[in-house]
Amino acid sequence: MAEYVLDPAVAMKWFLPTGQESYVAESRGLLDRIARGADTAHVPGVFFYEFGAWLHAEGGRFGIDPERAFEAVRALPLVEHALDRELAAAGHLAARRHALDFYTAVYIALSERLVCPFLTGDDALAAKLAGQTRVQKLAGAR
Amino acid sequence: MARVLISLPDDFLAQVDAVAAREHRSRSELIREALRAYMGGAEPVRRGPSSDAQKALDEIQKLRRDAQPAAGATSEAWLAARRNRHG
Repeated sequence: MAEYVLDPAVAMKWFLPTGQESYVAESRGLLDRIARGADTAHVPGVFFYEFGAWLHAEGGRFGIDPERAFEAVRALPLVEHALDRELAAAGHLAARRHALDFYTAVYIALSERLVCPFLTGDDALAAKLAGQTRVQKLAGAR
Repeated sequence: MARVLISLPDDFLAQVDAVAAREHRSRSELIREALRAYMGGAEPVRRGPSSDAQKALDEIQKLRRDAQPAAGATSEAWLAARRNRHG
């Protein structure tokens, strides 16, 4: 069983046609394992805001219904962590330490709290954080 | 990930296993989550009971099959641009 903090861009790929962008196929394998309970995917509360914002901004481009897509992802067995005082403080620290925007820093802070990797398809972000924190590229996921 | 050996009374372990079975989780995962909650921070919310997960998966697959290819930014690029705007 794998356990990780999930980048919202990975969830966006679940809805994209084959070949639309990199790691779409890998993201589908991940979705299947999450739905079956074979993997545990953690997300901060802001995950749903970011995912919802993408659906409304970009969903129309692909013909995706935002409400249906949002509800489907809400129904997956994701483990949601509130942005409490402790996580926010860790997010501020991660933002300074890794020179990140606060959104990204909260995902990194959560992965550090849970001692599990941050799973992303963002090659540039993974390269930037390599060796500094537990970041795992989607291509390397099981 | 390190493995630890802990002692629990048999009847308590039975309760732990019953909760784990009901929530379709492993014993280790349940104990790990309980310890995290004890050590600080808000207790995480587990979205979507497993009975709904297959329906959710089917719905996502259906939405994907109906999705049309389109030019534009990748999901990572869109997210990075949005985060840089908002800080």
